This record gives sequence, structure tokens and C-alpha cells, in this order.
Amino acid sequence: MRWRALLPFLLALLAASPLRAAPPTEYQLKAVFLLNFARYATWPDEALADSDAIDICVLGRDPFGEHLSGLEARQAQGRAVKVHYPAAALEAKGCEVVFVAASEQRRLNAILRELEDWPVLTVSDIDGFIEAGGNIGLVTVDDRIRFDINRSTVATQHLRLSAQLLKLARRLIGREGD
Amino acid sequence: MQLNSRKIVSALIVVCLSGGAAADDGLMDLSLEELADIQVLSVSRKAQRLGDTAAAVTVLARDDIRRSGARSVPEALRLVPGVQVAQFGAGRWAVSVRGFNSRFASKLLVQVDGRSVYSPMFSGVFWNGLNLMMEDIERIEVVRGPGASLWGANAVNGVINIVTRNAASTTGSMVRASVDDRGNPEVAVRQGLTLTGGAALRVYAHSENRAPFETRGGASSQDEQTGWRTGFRLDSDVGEPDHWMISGEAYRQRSPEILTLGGAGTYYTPFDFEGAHILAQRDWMTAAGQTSLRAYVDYADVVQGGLGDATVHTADLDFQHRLPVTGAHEWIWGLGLRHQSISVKSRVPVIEFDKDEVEQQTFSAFVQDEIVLLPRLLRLTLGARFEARNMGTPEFQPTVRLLWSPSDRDTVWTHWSRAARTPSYGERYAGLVAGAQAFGPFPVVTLISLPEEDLRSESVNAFELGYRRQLDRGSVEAVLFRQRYSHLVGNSFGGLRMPGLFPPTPDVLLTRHNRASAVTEGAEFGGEMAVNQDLRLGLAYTLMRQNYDTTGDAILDGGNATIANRNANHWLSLQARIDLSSRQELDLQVRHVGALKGQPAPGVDAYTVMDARYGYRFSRRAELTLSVTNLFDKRYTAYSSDYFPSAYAYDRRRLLLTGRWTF
Repeated sequence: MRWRALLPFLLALLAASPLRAAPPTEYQLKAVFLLNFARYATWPDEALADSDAIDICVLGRDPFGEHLSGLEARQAQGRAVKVHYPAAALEAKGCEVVFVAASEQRRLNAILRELEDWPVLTVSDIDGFIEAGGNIGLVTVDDRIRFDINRSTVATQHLRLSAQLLKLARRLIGREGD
Repeated sequence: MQLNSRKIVSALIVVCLSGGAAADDGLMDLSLEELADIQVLSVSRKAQRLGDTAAAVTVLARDDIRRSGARSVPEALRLVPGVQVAQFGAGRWAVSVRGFNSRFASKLLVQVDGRSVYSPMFSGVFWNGLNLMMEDIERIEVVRGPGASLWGANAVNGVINIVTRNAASTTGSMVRASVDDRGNPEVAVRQGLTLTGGAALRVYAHSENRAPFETRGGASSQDEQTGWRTGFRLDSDVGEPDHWMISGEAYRQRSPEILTLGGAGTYYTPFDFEGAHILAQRDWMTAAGQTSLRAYVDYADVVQGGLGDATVHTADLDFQHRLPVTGAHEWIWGLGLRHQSISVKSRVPVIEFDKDEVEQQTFSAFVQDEIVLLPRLLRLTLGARFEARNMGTPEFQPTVRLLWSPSDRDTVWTHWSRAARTPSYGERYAGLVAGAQAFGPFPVVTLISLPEEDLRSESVNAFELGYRRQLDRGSVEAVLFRQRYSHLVGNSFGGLRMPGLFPPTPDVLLTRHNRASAVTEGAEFGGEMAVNQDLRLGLAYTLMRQNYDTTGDAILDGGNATIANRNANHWLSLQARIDLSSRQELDLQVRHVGALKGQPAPGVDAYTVMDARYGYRFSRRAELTLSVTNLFDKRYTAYSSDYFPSAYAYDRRRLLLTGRWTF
């Protein structure tokens, strides 16, 4: 193939993509959403002693990379934030926030069943996550991150989410007390 | 010129590298409202979902298919590394994975929502009959290499799974109308409904009307495509863990071509495809795991003008059960039962059948265990499939796969698999004119390939080593493979036959057997990257060589070389998806395919063509698209028809204007 044949192709690319500041990557922003969920959720007192840190856990293949460890420099509700990578759902019972990575799609139902009796805020960007019983589902709409909330499972797991979080949700399913 | 292109390439690299640095700190101080308003550079999560898979898998998402401008499944498959796609007529395709390219490439399993669409006549796909409604495809999954342990028969070189959209995501009305530069109109309509109880239904119909290719002399190849397809899909509430789906379709397609019959001149014949199917599937979750049950009945008829016809009725039942994870093990098992009745008619002696009707039952069972050897690091998969046809000896198709994840972003996998392909109806019962050539003192004799009922299965031993990496802005993968085939079907000299006393010219008979063997090896590279918000790049590159073992049997070696020479030794596709503004899209695609030698002599030259697509969205309801295939109007041919020989068909620039309304 002659390079000359490719030239209009490359020119068109350049014309179409002026140099400009790159936006954050998807998981850079989703990491910050996790921090905010930790800030706007309330756990039962017996689950979170006064001296405890808020543990943010990732199940499956970590899509965040360095962006998640950056959260440890911050605080949520006056507590330190710690990031963990448990090997199995049963080991995530002590976490406050659990992010279920896309790699766990096939095991999703099993994971949610193992966590359903624990005060663990489950978050994921797997399609149909809140319908399957997860608490907060992250969705990308027009290149922006939005979230959906399943109020029934939030309530049955004895968690409370702030009114502000509920107000900003794109979609709420279920009812409190269901 | 040289200098310029080098400058541009380096500028592109600068674009790619800039803006990677994290600015997490600023983001963490923003309020939730502000966060919700930030645009992100979203990349498809395909590779991430695939991160756990010890196989070379590529998924084409709906948007990839839409922006490729593909109007048929083979066109979309050009984006996938390892898949060889050659178009040699308006509706004629040769599509294969990892070699043995042919119009009836026999080692590939193609299914739509779990329903097999390859014909047991040739163990190949009549791509021209597969006139699917492209808008309704959710994704196309391509597995290269043997997928037999899970998917079964014919999954020797690969599996193509076409998954259609859930009816819940196609509510409302859609109308598409298009016209090409030769004035051929096409129309598609779809109506979606939400029913009580959360169920959803769509009904649709579309027409196909594609302009013919042209001959070397510039005349029409008379292979214009006309047809229609109509169907429905009904889905239960997506939110429920117990989900069922029922779908049905009927179609017709007319696909004529001009056959060249050796010294006997040319023969115009239409292929008429018609078919219908109905399929039901239920997926449910219990404490005992995830279960799915699928059943379908399918009718497919191919009428080849005055030559003959073939009707296939299929009834298929498929069960699959995924057990809950216990310790380090995750088991899946399944059972399948397929009944096919095939009936054929031959009207001329070009094809003759030993048996006009055959009933065949296929029973299959598979089991797979995925074992976590080291949590988050090493995973072993053992699987096997047993498959028996008509109470014959079961074919044993095992696989061993090892997946190593040195980090959350890197995956290295390797596998060894054995797969088998049972001989097709055509191979066992059809005698056909295989060609004409000079023989001894005779200027031209007819070669006739005789049927052989007792053929055994072809088999492959495949080895693969792959690497996949998920990047912040995309993903890359590289795969090396070597596949050793034995008991391949081949032809050898089987004597002479005098059809009549005058003229005293003999027919040369060829007998079929399983004595051929071959090796295919190569490398596949794939990558995609979001350079910035508005520009995404995609790449697929394949290097491959296929060699048969020499046997010393001149006819067999000659036939084998012909099969091997139908494959290019490298091909490339490069795509750029550009969002010019919130309303405008520009998509560019370059594809290059290496030469095919002696296919038939003097072969097919390498070609490079570029396609472009420009889309303008007037509102959320209306959009207009202009697609140009072969932008620079290069006149080229990609392949010469095998099985049904015809003159080379050439393609030129094609324009297509499409309007789409949703309401």
C-alpha cells in the first residue's frame, strides 16, 4: 500500500480532531463517584464503629488503576478512606462500598446474593445491575456519568442514602420498606 | 509528499499522547451536580468484559456496526482480526476465520440468537440468504479458533454469534428509506410496543435491493440482490430474573448469477432462498444456578434455477446450566438434540445426489469447569463436548485453557483444543462437475467429483497464545495461532468413464477421501483507541499462511493447492470514527487485502479501498446518512467463485443515501 493513498485519510483525521484538553477518562470520574457515594450514604452504627475507616472494595478486575488509590488521600464523613481488592464476594462483607467490576457480569447474581444480608453499598456499571438487586448502577449517557438507585435493596440492607443523592439519580426503582 | 505524511503521523502521535495525565485532585473537589455534568472519554468496555476469557474473542457492538455503514453481516466482519471477507458479487461472499476461505467455508459456526444458520448441505453459510435487519443486531461476537467444547459442530475454526436486540430497547416506530446511485430503493419499518406486565414486542419488515457488480468488460454481472425479511420478537420484562423470549421470521431472497460451464458457455441461474423459523428461549435463575432452555424449528429452501433445489427442516432443543460457584470451581454443562431432514432434487447432471432424502439426529453433551488456581492470577478451564450423529461414534472435542492475569489490565492466555467437523450432506451424497481441463490427447474433459458416504470427520488440533491489554483509552490484543488439520476431505483420481461413444471423450472421475492434512498458522492484531472525545481509531491486522502436506498424488496436491491459494496471506482494516459536531459524524475505513495466487490463474491482485460515511442528525428523530463504498472508485475484484464457477465480478464506487426516522 502506498502511503500517499493514506494521506487524505490522515488529513481528514487531523482536521477533525483539533488539539484540545482531554476530558477525564471514564474510570477516573467513576472513582470520584464512588467517593461521593461514600460521603452521602449512612451505615448502621454496628457496622461502622467510630474509629473505622470507610472501606471501598473492588470485586473482579480493577478498571480504575491509580485513580482509586488516589481516593485514600481523601476523607469521607470525617473518616479515612481505604481501598481493598477482596478475592471473593464473601470477603467483601466488611466493606462499606463494593464496586462490582464488569468482569464479574456472569457471577453477578451469585455475588449479590452473598452480599444481600450485609450493610454493603453495592455499585456497578454492569447493565441491569439494579434490576438484579444491586444498590447503585452507574450508566453512561451522552458521555456523562449518571446513576440509578434501587431503593428496595438499599432499605433491606439497612443503608440510607441522602436526599441529595436520590434527587440526582437518573432513575429510582423500588420503594423504601418493600 | 513523503515528508508531509511523516509530519502528520508524528502529529497524530502527539495527539494520542497528550492529555493522559490525571487531574484527579480537581475532580474530587467537585460537587455531585458538577460531576454529573462532566463529559468523559468513554471507551467501549468490550475488552474488559472479555478480560476473563481464555479465547480470541472480538465483540462488535451496535454502534460499531452502525458506524461501519455495513448493510450485511459480512461487511461488519471486516472489522474483526482473523476474519477473511471477500465479496465477489452483489450478494456473493466468501467468509472464513483462520483459513480455508471459500464460498461455502465449512469450518465456521454461525448462529443468530443461538439458531444455527449454516446449511447442512455444504456445512457453509449462504450469506446472500442472510438478509438480516442490521438495526436490530445488538452485537456480533466472533470467537476465533475452535469453540467446539461450548458451541459444538462446525466450530472448528471459529464461531460467529449474532445477537439481536431485546424488544424492550426497540420501542416506538422506525422507518428507514434509502436509495443508491443507480436508483435502487430499499425500505425498512419497525414498530415496537410495550405490553402489559412489562413485556415488549417488535414487528419489522425490510426489503433488500442491491445493484449488480460488473464484468471485466464493464457489463453487468446480472447478480443484483432482491429480497425481503419480516419478523417479530417478544420479550418478557427485562427486570425479572426469569426471562423468556419468542421470535420468528420469514424471508425470501433472489440472488442470480451467471455460471461458466467449461466449454459449454455460460448459464444464467437465480438462486432463490426462502425460509422461516420460530424460536423460544427461557433463562432463569434459581439457587441451583443459571439455566437456559431454547427450542426452535427452522425451514430453509434453496432453489437454484433449473439446476435443482434443497430443503432443510430443523428442530433443535438446547439446554444449558451454570452451577453456582463452589470453592474454586465453576461448572457449566449442557445437552443438545437436533433433528434435520434434508431433501434434494437435481434437474441437470451438473449436480447429482445419491440420496434424495436424509434424516439425521445429532445428540450432543458438553461440560466445562473453570478452576481458579491462584485467585486473581491464574485460571484453568477444562472442557469437552461429545457429539454423535445417527447413533454413530461420538466425536470427543476437548479443550484445555490457561488464563494468566499478571495485572488487572493484562491478560495472557493459551489453549490447546481439538475439534471435529462431520462431513456435510453434499460431501457424502452429491456428485458434481468439478471443472474441465485438458487431459492426455483430449483438449477438454469433464472432471466429476463422486460422492462418498463413508467419509469420516475432519479434525483439528489447535494451539493459541494470546495477549490482551485494557488501556485507559482503549485496548489492544495480539494472538498467535497454529492449527494442524488431519483427515481433510480431498479428491484423487478414480478412473475414467465414457459417457457415450460419440464424441469419444472420457469423463475423469475423482473420488473423495480423508487423506489430506494441512497446517494454518498466523498472527492477529486488534486495537481500538479513543484519541479524544471526537476521534476513535480501530485496527485489525492478520498475517496467515496455510500449507497442505504434499502427498505425491498430483490430483490431490493440485486440488489442495487450489484451496490454500484462495487465502490471502495478510489483510488489514483501519477505521476512524469522527464526531464532527453533536449532529455530524464522519467515518472512514481503509481496507487492504493481499493477493490471492492462482485462484484460478492468474489469481487476484492485492487491493486497497477506502469507504466513507457521513451522518447528519436533524433532530433526535431524523437523520440522513451518505455512505460511499470504494471512495476512490478503484475497480477491483476480490475473489473468484468456487463450487459454482463464474467470471470475475468487479466493483466500483457505490453511493447510498439513507434517511432514518424514529417516532
